[in-house]
Formats: sequence, C-alpha cells, structure tokens
Amino acid sequence: MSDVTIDTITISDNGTRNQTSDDAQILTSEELILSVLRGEIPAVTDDNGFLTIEIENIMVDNPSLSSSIEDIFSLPAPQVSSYKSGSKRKITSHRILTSDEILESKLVSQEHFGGFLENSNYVSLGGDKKSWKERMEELITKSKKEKHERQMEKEKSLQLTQQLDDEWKNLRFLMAAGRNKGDDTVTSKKDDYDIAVRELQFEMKSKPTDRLKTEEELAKEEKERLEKQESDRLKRMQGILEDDEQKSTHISADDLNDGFALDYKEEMIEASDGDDNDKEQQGSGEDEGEEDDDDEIDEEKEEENGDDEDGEMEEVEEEQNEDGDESDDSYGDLESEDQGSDVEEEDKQKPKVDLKKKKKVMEEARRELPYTFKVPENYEDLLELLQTHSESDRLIIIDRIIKCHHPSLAEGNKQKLESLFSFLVQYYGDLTLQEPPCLSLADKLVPVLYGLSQQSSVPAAIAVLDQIKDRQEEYDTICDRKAGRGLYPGLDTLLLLKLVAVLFPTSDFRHPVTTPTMLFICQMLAQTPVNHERDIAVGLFLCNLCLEYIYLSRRFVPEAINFLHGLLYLASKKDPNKIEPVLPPFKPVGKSINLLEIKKPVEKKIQTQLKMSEVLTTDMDRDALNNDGFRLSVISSMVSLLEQFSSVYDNYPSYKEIFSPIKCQCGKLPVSNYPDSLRKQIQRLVNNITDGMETKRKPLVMQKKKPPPLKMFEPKIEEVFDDRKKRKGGSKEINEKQKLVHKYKKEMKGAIREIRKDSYMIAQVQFQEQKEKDDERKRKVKQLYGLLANQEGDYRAMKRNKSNNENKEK
Amino acid sequence: MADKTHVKNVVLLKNIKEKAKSCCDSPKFANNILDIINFAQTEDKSVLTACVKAFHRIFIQFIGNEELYMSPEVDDESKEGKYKIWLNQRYKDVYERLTELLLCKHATVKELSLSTLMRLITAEGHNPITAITAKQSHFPIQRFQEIMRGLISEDYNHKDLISRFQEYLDYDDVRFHVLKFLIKDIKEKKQQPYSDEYLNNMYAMLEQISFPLIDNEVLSNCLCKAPDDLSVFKVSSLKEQKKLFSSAWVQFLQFKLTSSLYRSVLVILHDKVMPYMTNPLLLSDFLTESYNVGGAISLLALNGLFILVHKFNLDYPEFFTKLYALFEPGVFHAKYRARFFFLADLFLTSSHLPAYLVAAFAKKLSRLCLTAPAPGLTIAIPFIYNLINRHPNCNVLIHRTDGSTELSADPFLIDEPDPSKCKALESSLWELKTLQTHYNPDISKSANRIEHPLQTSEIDLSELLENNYHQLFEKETRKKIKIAPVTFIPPKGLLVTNDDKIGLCWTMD
Repeated sequence: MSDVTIDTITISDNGTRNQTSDDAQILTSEELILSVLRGEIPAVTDDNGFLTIEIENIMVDNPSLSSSIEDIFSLPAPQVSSYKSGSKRKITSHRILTSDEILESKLVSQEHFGGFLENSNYVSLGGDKKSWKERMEELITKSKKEKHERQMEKEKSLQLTQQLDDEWKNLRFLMAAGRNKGDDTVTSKKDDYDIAVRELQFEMKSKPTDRLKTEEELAKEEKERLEKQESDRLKRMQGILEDDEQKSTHISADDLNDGFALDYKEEMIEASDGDDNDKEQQGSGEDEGEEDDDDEIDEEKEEENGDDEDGEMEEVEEEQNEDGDESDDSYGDLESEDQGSDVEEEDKQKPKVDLKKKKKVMEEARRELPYTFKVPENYEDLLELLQTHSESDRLIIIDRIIKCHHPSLAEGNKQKLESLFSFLVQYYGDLTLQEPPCLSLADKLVPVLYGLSQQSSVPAAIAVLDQIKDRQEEYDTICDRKAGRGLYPGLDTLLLLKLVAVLFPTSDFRHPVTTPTMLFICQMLAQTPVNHERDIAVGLFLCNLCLEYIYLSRRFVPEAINFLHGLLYLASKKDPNKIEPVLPPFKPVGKSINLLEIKKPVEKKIQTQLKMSEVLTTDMDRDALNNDGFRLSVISSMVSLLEQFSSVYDNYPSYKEIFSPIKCQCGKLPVSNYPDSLRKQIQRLVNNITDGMETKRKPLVMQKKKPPPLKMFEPKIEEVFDDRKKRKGGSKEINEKQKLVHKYKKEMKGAIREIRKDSYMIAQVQFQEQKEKDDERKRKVKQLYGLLANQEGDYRAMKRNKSNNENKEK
Repeated sequence: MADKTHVKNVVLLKNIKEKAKSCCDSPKFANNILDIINFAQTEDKSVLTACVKAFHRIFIQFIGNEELYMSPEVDDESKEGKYKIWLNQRYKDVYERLTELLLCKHATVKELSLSTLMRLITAEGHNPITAITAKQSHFPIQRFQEIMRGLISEDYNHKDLISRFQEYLDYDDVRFHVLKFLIKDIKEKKQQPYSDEYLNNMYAMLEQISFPLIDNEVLSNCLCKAPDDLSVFKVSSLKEQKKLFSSAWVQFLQFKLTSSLYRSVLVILHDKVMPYMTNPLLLSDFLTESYNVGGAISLLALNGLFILVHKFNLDYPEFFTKLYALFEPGVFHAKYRARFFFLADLFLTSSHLPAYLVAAFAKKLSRLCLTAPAPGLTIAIPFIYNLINRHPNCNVLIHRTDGSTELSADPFLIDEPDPSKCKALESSLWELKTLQTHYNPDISKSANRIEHPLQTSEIDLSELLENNYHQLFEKETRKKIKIAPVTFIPPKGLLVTNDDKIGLCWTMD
C-alpha cells in the first residue's frame, strides 16, 4: 500500500446514534482496512498508482478512533484532499466531531442562559410556568441521566472493540499463516522499490527555494543597491543627518550579523557562474575567487565544529591532502587550505591532471608557510612576521591572519582584527618610506584594508584618524619652529591621505575622517613655501587630492586654486620691473620664482603622468628633476587639473572672479616654447574659462519665508495632558532663560496680587476709621444741634415768659 | 688632566673663600683683595663666580661699616688716610672689573655681576662713601652710568640681562637715571655709526620701562636714600619722568630701525608707550610714515594711529581710504591678522559711517574671501555679517528686491582705490553664495546664513581672531566617532577606485 487518499468523509452532525443513516457504519481502524481488503469499500487505483478509497458516511464516534484513521492514512483530518473531483463528494463538516462533543454542544445551546440561544426552547419555556428551582433540578437530573447513558455507551463500544480486536488477532494469525510464503517473496521483491519509496518519503521535503536570479535581475539589484547607497551619500553630502536609519543602511538584509558585511560584487560573480551550491551564496566578502570562498566556508565550518586552537592538527591534515586541486584556482597565490573530502569530490568533478605538476611545484614553494597565524600583538611583531617573506607571501600571511580570525569564530577576534588594521595602516605608510618605496605591495594592501574597514568602520576610522592627527601635529611643530612655514611631508603621509579617500566617502558634508584630512591638506597647501622641484610635485599631488576629495560634492577649495595659480606664476614670463600679486605660500620675489619657466622651445613629447616614486620621495635627487621634461609634465598636469576644477566649479556665481586670475596668468605663459599638444590644452582651458565667464548672475535675494499658516480652530489633542505648555526643544540655555522669565512673570503677578490685596485691606481699614470718625462727628453735631435747640427753646420760653409776665404786669 | 685642573680649581675656590673671609674679619688682611682681583683675571666660570661673590661680601661689609667713607677731613698723610685712599682705589678696580664682567661670555657670571653691582649701588646709596649734602640724592650716578654702559652694549645682545634688570626699574630713582642716561647716550650715538645690537639693547631697556599705576604725582619708591625734601627733587616728579620717557622714545624712534625691530616697536607702541607719554602726538609723524610704508608695517601702525585719532584729535585725512587699501589678499596670511581684524572691526563700529563706505568694505572683504585660507574665512564671514548688521542700508548686498533681474558681471570695481567710487552698493555678495559650498562644514554653514535675515545681535569676533588650521583641525577631531560611513565600492588598488582622480596625473611606479 503506497499511499491512501480518502477522498470523501461525510460525517453527520447528529448527536445520537439512532439518527445515523442506515448505510453508515461504525468502523475501527482495523475494520476499515479489512473492508478495503475485502472489497467492501470501493477502492480504486488511479493512473498514478494511488489507491483511492471512497468512504461514505463514516460515523466516527470515538476520538481515539478518529485520530487513528488519521494515523493510518497519514492524513490530516480537516485537510481532505480534493485530488479528484467526484460527484459523490459531500463534505459537510471540516471537523470530525465526536459524539461527546456533539451532545455537549447541544446541551449547552439548549440550557445555558436559560436556553435562549435556541429560540424554540425559549418559547416553550415561556409557556411553561415552572419555577426556576424546579427547572434547574430537572436540568440536573437530565444531564446526569445523559451522562450515565453516555458512559454506558462508551463501555459498550470499548467492549465491542476489545472483542473485535481479539477476533482480528485470530484472523490475522490465520491470514498470515496462509500467505506466509507469498509474503516473503513480496518483501524481498519489494525491497528496491520500498527503499526507493522510503527514501522518497523520508527525504527532507524539498521546500520551494528562490529560483536562481538571472543576470539581469542581479544587475538590477546591484544597481538598486548602489543607487540606495548613492542617495545616502548625497544625503550625507548635504549634511542631512540620519541617526538610526543611517546605521541600518550599511547592514544588508543578508548579513549574518557576524560582523562581515556582504560583498555584493563577489556574490554576483558566484551566482552568475551558475554554481548550484546554495551555501555559496553566503560566502563572505573576501577578495577572492569562487573556489576560495568554497574552501573558506568549509574551513570555517570545520573550525566551528572543532576547537579553534588546534591549528597545528589542521595543518598536518592539510599537508596530507596537499595533492588536492589547486589547478582550478585562478588566484593561486591567495589560496587557502583545502579539505580532504572537498578535494576528492572536486577531483571527480574536474579532473585536470595536466596541471597537477605545475600545481605541485607551486605547492612546494609554498610549503614553508604555515597556515594559521596569530594576530601580532604589536607593530614590531607584525614586522618580524613579514620581514623575511617575499611580497606575495606577505599578502598571503596577512590574508590568512584575517581568515583565521574571522569575528564569527571566536570572541575577541574582532578586536584583534581592529588592532591588525591599525598595524597595517602603519605598515602601509612604512612601505612607502622604504628605499626604494615598495608601492606595489602598498597598492595590494589597499583591498585588504578596505575589507577590514568594512567590518568595523568606527575603529578603522579611529585608527586612520590617529595617524592623520600624528602627521598634522608633526607638521604643526615644524610650522611653529619656522615661523608659520611648514615642510611638505614624506610619501607615506601623501599616500595615507589618498588612502583616506579610498576607504571613506569624501563627499559627506561632515565626516569624522575626511573633513579633518581635507583641512590638513589645505593647511599644507596654504602654509608650505615652494622652494624646489619636489615642493612643486607634492603641492601638485595635494591639489590633485583636493580635486578627488571635492569632485563629487563640488565643494570650493580656495587653497588649491591659489596654489595652482601660484604654479602658473612660476611658469610664466615675469616682468622684472613689476611685482606680481601672488599670494602666500608663493613669493613675488626670490630665486625660486622661475622654477617652472621654460626658456627654450621644446618639442619633445610630454610625459603626462608623473611617477610617484620618482618625484614625491623626500630623498630624491632634485637635480634629476631640474629639466624641461619635468617642467612640461608639471605644467600639463596643472592645466588638466585646472580644467577639471573649472568644470566642477562652473555653476558657481563667482566663477568669473575665481578663474579670471588664472586666465590672466595663462596669458603670460611662454606658450611659444611649448609643444603643440600642451599649447592646445592651454588654449582649451582658456576657452573653457572664457565660456564660463559668460554666465549671467542674479542679485542675491534671501529665501522667502513661508507665510504663517491660518489659525485652526480645531482643538489640539494631546495624548498625555500635563497641564503645562510644552516647551519646544531649544538649547539648554534658552530653556533655562525661558524658565526664569516664566518664573519672573509668575512672581510678578503674585506680588501685584498681594499688593492689591494689601491696598484693599488698608483702604478698608481707612474707610472704617473715617466712617467711625464721621459718625462720631455727626453724633456730636447732632448733640450740639440738640443742645442749641434746647437752649433756643429755653431762651424762647424765657422770652415768652418774660413777655407774658410783662403783659401780665401791664 | 681634567681631574688635575678640577682639583686645582677646588683648592683655588676654597682659597678665595677663605681670603674673603679673613679680609672681612680684620683689615689686616686687606691685601687679600689684591689677590682676589688677580684671580678674577681668568675666564673660568667657577673661579669668576667665586671672585664676584667674594667682592660682594667684602665690599658690602666695608661700605656698611663705613670703612670706605672718605670724609673731607680725612688726612691724606695719616696712616689711616692712606689706607682709606688705597681701599677706595681697590674698590674702583673691583668696580671696573665687575662692569667688564657684564660683557663676559658666561650668562650666570653676567647676571651675578649685575646683581652685585646693583647691591653695591644700593649699599652706597644708604652709606655714601663720599660726603654728600642733605639736599643731594645719595644715588651714585657716576657708578650707575658705568653699569648702564655695560648693559647697553654695542657688541652683545643683552636682552636677557636687561630683562633681569627690570626689577630695579620699579625704583623711581633708578628709572630716572636710566632715562637720563639713555637720552644722553642716544644723542651721542646719533653722531656716529651704531650697531643693530645697540638698538636691540636700547629697545629692550626702553621696553622694560613702565610707570606705576598710582595717580600720585610724587614718586617715593627709591632704591637709595632720597633727600628729605621731595618736592624739589626731580627724581620724584612723575611729570618730569614722563617727559624724559617721551623724549627718550622720540629720540629712539629717529634711529633707522631694522624691520623686525620696527615691527616689535609698533606692536608695543600703543599700549606700553603711548599711555605714559606727555604728548603722544609727538609720535604722529612716526606713525603716519609707518602707515604709508604698506604691508605688515601699515597694519601695525594702525593701532597707534587710531589712538591718536580717537583720543588726541589727530586730524588724519582719508583714514578710511587708506584702511580700505589695506584690505588686500595678503591680510589673511599676515602674521598680525588677528590684530588687523580686531582694529578694522573697531574702526568700523561706528554706525555713523556712510553706507557706501561700509558696503565697500564688506564687498571687498568678501571678494578677498575667494582666495582666503579656511581660518581667515572663519573671521571674515562674521566680520561681514557684523558690518551689514550695523548698517541696515547694506542689507541690499544680500537681499536685493529692486533693480535688474540679471547682470552680466559684478558691478563692483575691485581695483578702484576710492571706496566711494567702487559701486559696492550696486553689487551683491555672490562670494558668500560661492562659499556656501566651501569644503569646511562650519564655513559652509556660516555662509549659509545669508539665506535668511541675519540675527540682530552682533557676533563676537574676539574668540575667532586667533583661529588657525590647527584649531579647526582639532575641532573636527575632538568629537568621539560614533558612526563612520565607509565607501561602498571595493577598490582594486590604490588608484583603481571608482572616483579616482590621482590617476589623472600620477602613476604608482
């Protein structure tokens, strides 16, 4: 039986057994199989070799049974495969409900919440006027009864099953006895097939993988990535700061967070090679070919499994396997260790016997090199390690150190690599100071340094910046000694400055490494007097660096333009009676002012590119440069630099003011002595400048202010109201001031209020006093009036009496 | 050999010490002085030091106990009289030797001699060796002049020694006599050729002289005993001293100074000389002349001249035109850049200056910015903003709403020497617009301010004046690096990168 698909399972949702339809049968698992075997249930083998059983109305009444069905047919119950669309299919429920559950649910719907979930019941209850208690009792008895019934049924079915099982055992015994022979043959025959089936069955189900990307897609992705990076760069150039987002842009989605940034270019190469090894996609960004990556991953795996320290063991093992395949490695000199199993496999795949010999010779030559190295503790250790080896071996050693200390291999490796980076930067500088300068190795170190700096950018930035700081300090002390005039540094500093441009983006508005470096370059250009040919060469190199630093961001470097102007002055014909207006570091008089002047016509071909090792080293032969060839090269370089600058700056509003002195100086060059090509170049420069000067300019106007927005009457809703006006974030000082102002206002108001209260109080008291006084006075006046009235009355009475008396007397 | 001489020296030194001691103890051993004078004829440093110390010890004691005192009634013939004459003679010898030692090659011996001489002067000042009337000062002028002659040497640079001498210049009588001597000496020297060293020494001495800050007209801080009645005593009159001081300087400035000396004179003139002069206008000729020289000298003369114009009503025609002429590309590279900008800011502070003038300065300075080094820009740009701030009429330089919409060229005439004719007010500060793209982020930000109305408050220039590349560099490197973006296109070599420009003119070979 290979596979069983149950096409249709119909399960009635009626609770009781009585209600099951007639043709529904209760089956145990064994019965089901039996019935299939007996042909009771129609089973069809379809053209794919699958056995399809069509079962109708199976009543599954035992939870254990239902699950056993699932087990047997290896079929998840609800997922009834709709492999074939048959007319008989009648799926009414996606879930096999056991009878228990059905009962329960019914009871619940009927009785809970007074049964009003089921309308009919509710109505009937409405008619019946039993008391609540009665009803509850009834309910309890009912449920108890049903429970009991259920129990009984269960026992019964268990019993039945038991019985059936026993019977089945007997039966099977009989069946087995009957078929014993045939079975044997079948099993032996089926062996191959079964194995195949098992294999297929137990084989890890292949999950759908992303299809391999086509080349166009990869190219597109790469382009998108670059565009994204470019847009980030532009943002940084304008000085727009991103905080957290910024960081995330540098971590790719595929990053394993192991400290290795993914190297996309490498990935592209691998994928486009059509290698179907999925693992390779995860290859970390090393500057090596595809095979190397393969090796590296294997090696990493092994090292992860085993102890990291057992380098020696590995070495032995590797040496045993050394007849491995190196032939297909295009980067033979950067090769790392191979693993035995790998070798065998690949040997099978690509047997390139003819190259074996060559490979063996190479291997032998390399045999002395150990395969693991410790990270040197200090710079002297590194030198010691590298000293005795050839140039290519040194690279291999460095490469192996880096590989053996991949940050994901052990804790602390990252720090080790960071320190290695700083040693290598120093080493890079020292290489150029050798006699003769070892520029090719320095050149090859650059990708290595790049790789390390990608892993941990901040420590790399600190290491490089420290170097730059040292050089700047050195330059400064020379300046202090020589009254503000410096000396051009050696080739190591110059190439270090170039290295900065390789490792870090030069176009950022503000970058922790490139901004100070640029300042340093300009300081040298502005403060170093030009006394001989080397000074000219170094100055020219620095101007060229300036160009590189600002080429993308189009920033203005007055120092470089000044210097180039000065160089033009050195090359021009001078009127001995007139002092030309040249700016420091050039002097209008002195013996060095004719360093670049060509006095006789020269017709030889110009060597446009200057050689670093010849003209930039500190101990070079100055007289060797005292010839017209060098001068012409310098003039030609200078003119091409000016052309570049002029094209970069052509949108400046002050273009004319910047370049008109240059144009003026070009007019004074003794062009008649120059070869034709140079003459044309100069003419082109002059034409460019003249064209650029034509542009019109608009008067400056400030940016328009946005009109203040209309006041809205919508209520402003604050999520958390803290009864206080929110102060907008200003500087600490401003906030403090505002706080004080606020406090002052508050105090002032309080004080005024107090004063008002006081004055009110005083006024009241005064009023009271006044009133009392007035009342007193009134009272007194009244009293007086009364007194007077009495007096008057008395007087009148007296008078009257008198007159009465008189009358009487009369 | 070395050991032997060393041992010999030690013995000698001990000998000298003992002789000095015995000489002090009793006049019987006065002949020891002769021995010591003989010893002092050497060039050996330690011996000389010991001798000078011995002289000091002996003669301070003799002066103190009046053994040297020659009263008029001393009998020449008597034994005692002879002894005194002899002793005075020796004293003179010793004094001569000590002044000679001022020119010796050992710095310590020089200094020791100088301080010994001054001590002897002090001792004499309190216990004169000749009879002196009550009205006279006790200051031994003759002897002091000998010291001065040694100090203001023709052949040696005595800058260090003179700066050592400064402590004595606080005494009013010393100062008085120094000034007197200097005036006399200068007058003499003018007739004959003089060396640069002489000028340097003279300058060093004049530079040291300063006056106490008290408002007291009568000076009483004397090294030697002053006469009782100070009112008739010239030394104690501040006015008299200032007069001498002025005349000494004026006389000195008539020499033809070397250019470095010229500069240092101009540097100190305004704050160490002018305040103490009776009439600083005496310097106006010198300053005007210096101002016309051009270059750094002009810059330095500005300061003094400004004080004369400002405080002493010097009528200086075309001051601002000349100041305008000083604004040239070289100022950013000059050593005295800070001072120049400080003063220029000071001169242009007045809000009563005409707008055209201020606009001319602002425009010219902004033009100079195109060739200026970065530290210069950090001063110049705020400077321009301050000018515009003080003179709202100049706002058109950065915000012009009327006039033509497009110009073919800048109307400003850079070569016009007269600020009133240079048409600065018709122009705009396009240079600042250009500087918005300067490579230094701070300068770029600072230039960006013209996009919005300027702040009303002035920018304090004093902190910016001393800016240099190192400071800018420090400022950029001081912060802790939190994020460091890196390039995203892997290089294949030093010159094989995406945006390489070095390959344009260079190869790695």
